[in-house]
Amino acid sequence: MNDPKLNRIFATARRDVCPTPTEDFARGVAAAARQQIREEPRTLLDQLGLLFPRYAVAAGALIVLCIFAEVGQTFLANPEGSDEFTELCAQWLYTAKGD
Amino acid sequence: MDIEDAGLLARIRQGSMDEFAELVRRHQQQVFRILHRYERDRHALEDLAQETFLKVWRALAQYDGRAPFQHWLSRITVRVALDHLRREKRRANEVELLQLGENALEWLRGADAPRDLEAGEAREILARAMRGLSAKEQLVITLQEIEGRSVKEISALTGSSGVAVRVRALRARAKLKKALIRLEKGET
Repeated sequence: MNDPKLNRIFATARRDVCPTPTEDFARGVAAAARQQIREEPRTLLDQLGLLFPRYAVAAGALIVLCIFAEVGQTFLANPEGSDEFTELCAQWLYTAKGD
Repeated sequence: MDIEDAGLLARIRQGSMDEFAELVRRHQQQVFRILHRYERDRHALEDLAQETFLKVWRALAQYDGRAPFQHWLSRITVRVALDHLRREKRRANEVELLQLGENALEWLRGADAPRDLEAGEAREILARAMRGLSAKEQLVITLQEIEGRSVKEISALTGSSGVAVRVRALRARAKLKKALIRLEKGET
């Protein structure tokens, strides 16, 4: 492979005719851009919505709400701890020493 | 900047999509002319051109109008071409190498004054030989040897220094020659 032969390949490739765009190419591009505008997130909430699917956020919020409700209810009903906890202490901690 | 382009760009920034279609119509041939050096399939070429114009549309706010719009558009087009070459390079590593057509191979193995080479055959030979080149080397050698651009122009289009462009072009040419010698000998 000598330089003139390589140059000839380049020169011939240069002559390759460029295809013309189809008639509706420009309209197609504009339509694709319009589509992107519609799909683009507009607010911070929208953007967060893309990162975290809405159902996951709703489910997470529900779980947190339930935990708070349970803890709050337990605390109001028995501020010093649950009956189960007292029973456990009596059976496993104090009994050993008592025996 | 072209006065008509300036008017179009101002109206596009205000949200006129019809004007954007007009801008595409005005410059589509320029984009096709650059991209068809890197993609021979017509549908894939249109996809690349669309990708280019969508990038232009998204980046329009960054265009300050100091350089002609055509230059800015060319830079974006060349970047799309480079991304395309990178994707193709990755894909080429996964698929079997394409075989050269009989006519192209015959010409390549011919004596000192073989018959005239067809443009399609030349592109076929180059496409096959360029597979050993990096995406940047492919881009530089195509811009220099096929598009006939100067080192300064390539430097402005790619964002590489003039020295880097020269080195890349020399390396690409040497690699191409080696690849073509292998093809002449019938090696893959």
